[in-house]
Amino acid sequence: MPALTRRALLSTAVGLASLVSMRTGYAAERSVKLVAPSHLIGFDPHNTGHFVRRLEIGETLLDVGPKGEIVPGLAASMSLDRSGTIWSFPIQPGRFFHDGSAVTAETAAASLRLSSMVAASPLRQAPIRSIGVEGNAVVIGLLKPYALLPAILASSSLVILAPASYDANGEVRSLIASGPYQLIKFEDGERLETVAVRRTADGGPSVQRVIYQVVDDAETRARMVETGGAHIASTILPVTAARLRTNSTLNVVSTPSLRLRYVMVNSSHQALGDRRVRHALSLSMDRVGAARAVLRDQSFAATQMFPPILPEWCLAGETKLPFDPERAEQLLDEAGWHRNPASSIREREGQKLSLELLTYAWRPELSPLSQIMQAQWRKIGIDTRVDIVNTERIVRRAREGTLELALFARNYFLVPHLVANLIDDFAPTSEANGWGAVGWHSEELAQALRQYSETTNEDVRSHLRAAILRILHDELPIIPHSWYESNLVHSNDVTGVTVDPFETSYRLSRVRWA
Amino acid sequence: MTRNQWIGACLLIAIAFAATVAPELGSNPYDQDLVRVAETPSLDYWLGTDHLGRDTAVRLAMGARYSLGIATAAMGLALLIATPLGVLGGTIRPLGVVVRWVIDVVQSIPGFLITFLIATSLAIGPVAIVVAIALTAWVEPCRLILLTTEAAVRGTYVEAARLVGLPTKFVVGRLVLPTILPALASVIGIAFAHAILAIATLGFLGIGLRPPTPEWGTMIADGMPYIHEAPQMILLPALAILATVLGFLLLFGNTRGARWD
Amino acid sequence: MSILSPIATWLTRAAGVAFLVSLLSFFMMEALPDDIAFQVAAARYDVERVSPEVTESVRSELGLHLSTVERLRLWFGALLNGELGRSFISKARVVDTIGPPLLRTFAIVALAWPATIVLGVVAGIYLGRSARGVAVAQGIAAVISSIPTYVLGLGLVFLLAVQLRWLPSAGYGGLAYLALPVLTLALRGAVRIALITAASINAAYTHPSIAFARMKGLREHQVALLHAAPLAAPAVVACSFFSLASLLEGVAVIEVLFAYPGMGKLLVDSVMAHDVPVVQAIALTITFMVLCCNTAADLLARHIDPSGRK
Repeated sequence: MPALTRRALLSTAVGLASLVSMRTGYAAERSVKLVAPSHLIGFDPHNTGHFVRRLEIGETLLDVGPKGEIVPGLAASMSLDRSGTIWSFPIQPGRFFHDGSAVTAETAAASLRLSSMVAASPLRQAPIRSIGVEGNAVVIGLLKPYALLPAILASSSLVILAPASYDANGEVRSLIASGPYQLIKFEDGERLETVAVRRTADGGPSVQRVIYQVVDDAETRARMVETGGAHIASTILPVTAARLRTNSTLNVVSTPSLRLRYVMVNSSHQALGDRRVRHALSLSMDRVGAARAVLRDQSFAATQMFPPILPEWCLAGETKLPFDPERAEQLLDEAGWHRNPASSIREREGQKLSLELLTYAWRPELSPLSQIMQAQWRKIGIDTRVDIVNTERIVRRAREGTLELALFARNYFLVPHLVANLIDDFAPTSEANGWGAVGWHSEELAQALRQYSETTNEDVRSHLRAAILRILHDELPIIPHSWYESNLVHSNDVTGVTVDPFETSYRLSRVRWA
Repeated sequence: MTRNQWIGACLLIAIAFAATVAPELGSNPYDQDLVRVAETPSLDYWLGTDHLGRDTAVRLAMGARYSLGIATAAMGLALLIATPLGVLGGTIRPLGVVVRWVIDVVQSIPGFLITFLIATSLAIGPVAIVVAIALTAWVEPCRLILLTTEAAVRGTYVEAARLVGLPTKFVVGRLVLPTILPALASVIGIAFAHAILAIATLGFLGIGLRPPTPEWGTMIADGMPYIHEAPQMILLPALAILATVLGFLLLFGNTRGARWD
Repeated sequence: MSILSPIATWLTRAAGVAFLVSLLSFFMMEALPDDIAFQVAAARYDVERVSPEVTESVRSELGLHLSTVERLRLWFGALLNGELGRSFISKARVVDTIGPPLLRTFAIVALAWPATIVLGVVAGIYLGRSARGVAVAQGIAAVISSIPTYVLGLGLVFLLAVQLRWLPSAGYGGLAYLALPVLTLALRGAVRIALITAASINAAYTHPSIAFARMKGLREHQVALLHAAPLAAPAVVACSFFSLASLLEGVAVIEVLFAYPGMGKLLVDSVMAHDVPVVQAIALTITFMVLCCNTAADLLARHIDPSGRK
């Protein structure tokens, strides 16, 4: 339970009074019940699930706009000095935390400073020298130019919390933030309740109370909405979505997101180090067939690295990831792997082309997709063992270099700028991170990504993008498989429900009772 | 044999037949037909297809092979543990006390807890499941063997045999153990039934199996999103489990007030 | 003195079991090939944020860099002081983490157990009046016992929640959400009790006191309640307690199926997430509860048996 100071009590009373006086419609006491898979692990915004921002309990300095661009949040604007190393973010006036204290540059800077001490903070990715205050603006000094700083400040981990939220050790003890919803009940990691305490810029929120419940299984979540146990279910299986679309009492909303499914490849493996083998693996994957069978929509089959949701990161023309098993067999022959007529598995110098494909269970479509890959690679003479483990084992083995193949799904907008995530995966400063390229390095790519992060010149960036995409598609350090769709299903009791393709918010403040 | 036992025997023979013969006859259980996913029974696929277009009928039969195989291995291991412990515990007093205490303690721990923890902590594969099940299944047979051996050792005809000069081990082995075979068969049969259920539960939770191994519990879990378009994905494996477990219970369970659990 | 010594024996046994279970769960978690520090870090933060630096900071925070012996010693030391530690993942006190789920599981069990007994006994009495009834009880018990509990649950969900829309299919938020889990567990347990009851009642009817009661002119239901029931009671009572123990065992899978945030589901989740302190605490709690059940069953059975010796 959040600590209740006298101020908090007062502000709650004020809040409730204004709640009563607000024109809220007839369903003032009804709660919208949202079920989702993300576990609630304490109050720290750095924790996975990011419910603080997603449920609009807290806000970040900067936000993500509808096209993935960085827009003002608690900060009214942003500016960069001539040297390119000092960023300035003036704070919007008239914003308050749930305990009544004002959101000022000092409190925002303090919150960010505390975050920078957390090992998993996205601030650690930026070459930050200092976080300070100048007038009503948060001023961040960098060691060198880093154009991606605004994107970092827009990450869901960097929710600005009031000083009273932290204890003496800098740990988050209660959730006193500035969003339109306030946390009123938190039940150990399974369920929480929020209540609307202020208006948003566009007149919301219409929904006064929200209940968020954790339900792990996607099918169960969908069933809950079907049977009236919940109003909104986030993240349902594609096959369920296809089925529910025909149900007139329900609405399925979906939008492509920047989560990618791809096969991690250990390029230091004796077989996989050969570009031709990687391409053979890619050419023999029937992405369209798999997408149709498992994902129930062939448009999810990846035709290149990134989906059309970021048009500037797409190459024009036909698919860069064709399905051509004959060509795959040719490439394997060229690479020296020939079929053993008895077993029909390919061999080279007595070694079988036998690979291990790891994947994990908590994304349910990964197992069937991996089994499809296994069957398809078998047809071109590659013997694959599939193992369902967990992400930890995959990442650890990737870092150790013992991984061979792994089917992974990664959110390339975890930090709201694609390049920040690409640097992490393909040009990390130290060792491989464990979910990007393994045993592969391209100086050209590393340079291009680094330059991109330092410049804001659009022409230069355009050239760099072309180069980055070319290298990724030619080398295939990871083999893209399919794109993701963020979806949810809701009953007809609510309307105005939309899905954020960048997974930053459930946008409950825009939901209305039907 | 009672009528129930005949029914049980028939069920088991049918399942065993499916397990041994069928996989060779039908199509490949791993062949995927991505165009004909989650279909209800048709002429090509007599029992329909699963979510990856694989023939349900063949996968059911392979599942029988897997479940029966694991259960047999587990019971074998369980008996390997139970018999020496029971016999030795029955003949040597202090060892008997220790074995009794161990049995007591193990029975105080919920079986599922043990099975679950062991299966998740060992490396993935059939061995983990076999060990996990064996470590709970050895208890009842052991207790039976222990009690019977103890009673027999103190009984008179062992005395008589000793007087004649026969070694105790011989007496126990040749005279005592055969008398408990019916009771032991019953205990083992019920343990088999529990093993099949445990395998199906672990498979449902996705523990200890490497895809694309066909296993009934996993097939049920896979079939849950497809309950409307292809209900046979859940119904058929459930029936298979029912038939197998029922077969064991009917054939081996002593049904009057039996401890089904 | 004669009262204390069985208590003392029981306490030693309980302590022994508790010790063993804690060790078992500790070593099981250790035996996992995963790096606990990483696993916890990945469970806490997004997996894409778990750099080696993050892993190491979690490792030192949780004391995982200490040796196994050292960690065991610390854990037992804390346990003897009554402290169950803190969850690796949420950093909340273990007591706080398992408290509410324990209560929620208790809610299911508190409803399912009486339901099991009532359903079972009523059905058993009804069927026990004839040998044919006992055969029917055997048949139903055999069939239902042969279905995995989760299949039973799925069947009920499909029938009552999806088709008929009478009950919610999953989750937690009030009494209605308890209905399906309780029904599933009760059904499973009731068939066994029904069988024992039917068999015992049927056997009881052959007892001479029954014929005597009938001769006295008592009506049939009076015969059943006043004479047959007490004869059948010991077996039924013993079975009831055993059914409680198996209820506790079966509740975990049911909670996972119905996404019911109880202790069983927490156990499964914690094992997957490598939250060692929580796993140990739950293992201890469940074992302790089962131990109490079995003991109560033994005591009561000995007490009730009219022909037994005290």
